[in-house]
Amino acid sequence: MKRWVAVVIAALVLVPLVASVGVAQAPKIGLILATGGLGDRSFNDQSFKGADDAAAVIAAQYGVTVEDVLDYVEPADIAEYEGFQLQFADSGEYAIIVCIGFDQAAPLEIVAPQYPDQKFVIVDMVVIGDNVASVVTNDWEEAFLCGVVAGMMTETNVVGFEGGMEIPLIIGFMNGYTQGAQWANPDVDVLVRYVGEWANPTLGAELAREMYNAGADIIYGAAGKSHLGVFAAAEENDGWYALGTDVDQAATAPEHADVIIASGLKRVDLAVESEIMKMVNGTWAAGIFSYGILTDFGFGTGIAVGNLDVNQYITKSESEVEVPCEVILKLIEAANGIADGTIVIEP
Amino acid sequence: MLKRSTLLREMGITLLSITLAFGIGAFIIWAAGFSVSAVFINLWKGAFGGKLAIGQTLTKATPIIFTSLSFLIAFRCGLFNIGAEGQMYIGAMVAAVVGAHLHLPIVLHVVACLAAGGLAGAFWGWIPGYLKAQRGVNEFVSTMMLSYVAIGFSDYLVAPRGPLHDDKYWANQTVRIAATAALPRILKPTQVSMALAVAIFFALLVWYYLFRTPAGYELRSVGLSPPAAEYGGIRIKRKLILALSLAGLLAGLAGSGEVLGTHFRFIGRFSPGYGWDGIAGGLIARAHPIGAIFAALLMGALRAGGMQVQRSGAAPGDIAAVLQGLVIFFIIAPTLVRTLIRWRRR
Amino acid sequence: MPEFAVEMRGIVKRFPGVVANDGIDFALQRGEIHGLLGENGAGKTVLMSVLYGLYRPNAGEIFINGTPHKHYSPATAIGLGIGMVHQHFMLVPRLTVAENIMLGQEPTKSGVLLDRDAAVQRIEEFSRQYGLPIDPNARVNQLPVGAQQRVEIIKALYRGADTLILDEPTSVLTEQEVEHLKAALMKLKEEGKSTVLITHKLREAIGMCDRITVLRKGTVVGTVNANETDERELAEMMVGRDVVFTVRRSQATGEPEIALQAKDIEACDDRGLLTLKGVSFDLRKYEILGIAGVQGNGQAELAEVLTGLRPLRSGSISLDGLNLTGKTARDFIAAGISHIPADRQLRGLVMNFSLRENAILGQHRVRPFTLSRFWQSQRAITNHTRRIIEAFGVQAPNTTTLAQNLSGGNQQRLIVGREFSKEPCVIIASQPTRGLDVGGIEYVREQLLKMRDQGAAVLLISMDLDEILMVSDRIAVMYDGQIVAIKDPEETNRRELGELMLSGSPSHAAGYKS
Repeated sequence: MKRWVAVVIAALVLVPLVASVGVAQAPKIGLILATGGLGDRSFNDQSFKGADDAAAVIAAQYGVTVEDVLDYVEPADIAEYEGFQLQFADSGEYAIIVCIGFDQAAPLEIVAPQYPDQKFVIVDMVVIGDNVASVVTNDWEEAFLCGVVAGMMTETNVVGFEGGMEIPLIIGFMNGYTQGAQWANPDVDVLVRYVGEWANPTLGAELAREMYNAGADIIYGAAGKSHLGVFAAAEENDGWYALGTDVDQAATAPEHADVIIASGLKRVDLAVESEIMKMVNGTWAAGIFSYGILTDFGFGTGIAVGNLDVNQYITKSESEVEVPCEVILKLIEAANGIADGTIVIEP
Repeated sequence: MLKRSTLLREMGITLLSITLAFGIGAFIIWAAGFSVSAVFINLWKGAFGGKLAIGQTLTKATPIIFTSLSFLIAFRCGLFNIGAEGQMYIGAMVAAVVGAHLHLPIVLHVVACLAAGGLAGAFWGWIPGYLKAQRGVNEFVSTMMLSYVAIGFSDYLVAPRGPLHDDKYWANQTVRIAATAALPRILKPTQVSMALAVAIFFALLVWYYLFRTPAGYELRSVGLSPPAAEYGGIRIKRKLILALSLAGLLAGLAGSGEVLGTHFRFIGRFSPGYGWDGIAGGLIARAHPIGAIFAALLMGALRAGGMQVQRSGAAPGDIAAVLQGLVIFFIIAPTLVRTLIRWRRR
Repeated sequence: MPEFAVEMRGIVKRFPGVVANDGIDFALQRGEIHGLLGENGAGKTVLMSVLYGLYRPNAGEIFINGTPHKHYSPATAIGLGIGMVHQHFMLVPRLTVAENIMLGQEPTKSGVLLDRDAAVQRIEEFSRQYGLPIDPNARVNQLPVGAQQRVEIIKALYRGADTLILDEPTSVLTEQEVEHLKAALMKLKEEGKSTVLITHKLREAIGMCDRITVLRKGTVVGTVNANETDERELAEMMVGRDVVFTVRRSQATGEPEIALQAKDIEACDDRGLLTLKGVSFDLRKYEILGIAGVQGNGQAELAEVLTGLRPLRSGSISLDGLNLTGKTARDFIAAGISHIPADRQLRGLVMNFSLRENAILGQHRVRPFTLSRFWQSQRAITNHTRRIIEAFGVQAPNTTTLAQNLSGGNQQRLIVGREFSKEPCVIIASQPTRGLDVGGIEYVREQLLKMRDQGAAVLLISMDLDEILMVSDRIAVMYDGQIVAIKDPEETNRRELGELMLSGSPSHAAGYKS
């Protein structure tokens, strides 16, 4: 009986000890998602996947669970960013803190200098600092590839673009898309609408319907959750199609796989994972890092289309829309052109 | 003024309410499959466990002190100011404009920003006050509706094509205010700024106004008994307008404080509902200005603790929000607790 | 059957800071009308509330029909045959008489539908049986106060009351209505019902009751047979000292210049109906002008018009040549007009304010209480409050007590103290002694005379004709929004005034045919 008690006590004392030893060694990742949180089937979910993938590698390496390595928060509004950034940084527990979304830049500019030894990563915006790595992507490249698909597949020679807001980031998407469409089909016209909100699918659908009725048969866009409205509108009529953004939305929104021909890819997951692994490998550095086809990394943008992985830019999609072979060939030509500089996109 | 015995009883009931709320909260956390102890430990750690935690609590409490004062000063005059949220946005916006585009020496610039933000909020409170006094429009509805107008208008101003949008960032926000306009941070690296001191100063000022000046006396008379106030030669309509204007002023200061001390700019939709928290804060404080400080601290602690609960992974942020809701509910419904006590004695 | 319908032994009821009942023995014989007499705050209402189950006593025993009962609620009390008619009626104004009586006791047809006809029939039976005329289908808010009281009594009887408690039933009634009530109580007595009549009016207690128990400061002074006592003895028992029972009117000494002048005043009531129909009078210094009239003939509106609380439709008001027409209450106060409002709890006091705060209502903007816009002198306010408390005998633990915790009489003393200490040149006193005890009534009347002797012009509006006759220098009778006569109190009598009050002319009311 006494021995039994001793064993229990020993277990109670030792288990947390062992666990804490394990935790202390593994580098921890802090992830501050953009407002909107998980479940957007796009930006936040992708960023989380990248951090989660990196955390899995670290966890396996140190023999701990993924939960021990990755802590994340979903701020409810912009005003919460600074508080969370402070909370993560001040705890001193994290080897790296990843901030997702351009609107975290302003608070990070205040927080980062106060914690010079803390490594920060910000995605989608540039913050200058000795301890901040700013991750940006050549969004216009994915838009260009989508433009190629739209230009090739339109039957009306009119395609549409729906932006969340008329800001440089989204204008870059629009320019890439327009140039891609016209590169593949010089006769195409591009209609453009801005929702003015990132999370209003109803209004998004209304504006999409308007463009469809004006003759567009394929609509691409960059409008956050508002873009889900484009898919809903496309369902309303045969011959109306849409293109997804940043992730394979035929997979994340399978109910719309019948209207989503293809999706531009912004490989935030790869970028986030890459930054975290640079930290693990000891090669992490502050500065601005562009991810994309025409970059040092050589990855970061692409398109999900067709039913097989062609290369690191053109990957398979869950779309149910059949895409002719010549479209894929044209896309390979476009991606190679972007990579070797023969195609120059004006964002 | 409350007598000491009454005060002690009120405090006792409040504490009992909080305990009850945590009890039910614990059950919900358990039922949702999370560790009750982890949630409560992190709630405490996030609110009071260390300098940063206290800083977070104070940061969140600062605007809530103002909005609680805003609610209670109108309440003391028998009015419900539901529109502190909008008055706060108006005040914040004007403070941000004055802070960024006016060039004044240090201190003076801060005072100018606070005055401008406060007056803008006061104007936003004056409108429903005037409508109430002259046209009998229910302030409950008018303050709330004007709140939506204010928030929508601020959205427009800082949207990418809006006149106040800062083109340096893509976020919906104005440019940074001048250094001369900033309220200094007093507990670095946390976000606590002199706005906290301003808030406490105003709590004392509101107390003095309500309980030590003839104007405050008149305001309270109108709130407690309009016929007696009228009998005492008090011009009720003026008081109604004044009370809502002052409520707007205090809410406007809440927004100004956020701009000058916390964000250093106006950010679209910056408030996680501080205006609404003020209603709860004012009621928890039993409409007493000094009580508002403590009520705001409680609300701030719950918000700050909730962030820690989320970061630590003990439970999602929604669970913390549930706890906050429960605490507010139980404190504001003390009649419920009193009924329970009476029921037990039977 | 036991001799006593109710017996209460050693009842103690404490409230924070006050012992309202301090070991009271009280016995109600079957079929008697028992008067419960005492000053305000003597503990009459508290004792009966204990009996009715509203308060739980701290000590003591209660026997109802000989059976002891403890810790019961009003619902139980009603079940035991006890009914109480409160001073402030508990009726729903917008419902009809029948609906009010049925509330909580709805008879049903086949268990579901309201059987209104059965209820109306029963109410009519009660009405005839006890001589309490009432129309079951009338709306309560259209009934005069006396009729509302009958509704309350029938309601109690409808619920099976054998013992009826009436709290100050006559304070709201006219002389004629009091007579009707007396008749009804006699009828109830014949039917074997027992009645407790809470009152502080000596004459009524003697005139209506069989036995009278006198309370003073929470204890029983004694129980006497009504036909073996007189007003003087009862008054002594109540206040514990010899009372100079009637305030003697003395002749005023100063120059009776005109102070307040009202010309052709017209004004509407709250519903917008023309209620003051051209009232003109002069109010002089060194005089008390009494306004007599049956309630609802424009006296309440007159008081409000003369204090700036109600707008004029036409006509003019001036004070010492200062035109006050169209001015607000603020200006009237500034001009030196004091006002003792008829409704002290609604108008006269902020019930949730402390004594200190109430003591400066209306003067809160002026020296010495307010020295500048942002500076109040707390000491001046406290001193002023203490002076009122001492000079006017307000019974209160301290100056920070809330007004709502004072008894009605003390509330009135506070108001009178506040209004008189302003050194006003005009006093508008509306029902200043209503609901007060003997000591209080005497005191207020003396103060009114004292103010008059110091040169104040006093307008006294009262429903108590004795009061009007006792202290007025001139008596104006109001009828249907007009002053129908101004009389010298030496040359008129109750009968003449009563006729004027009821019909506006003496001959018509008397029924003479010329």
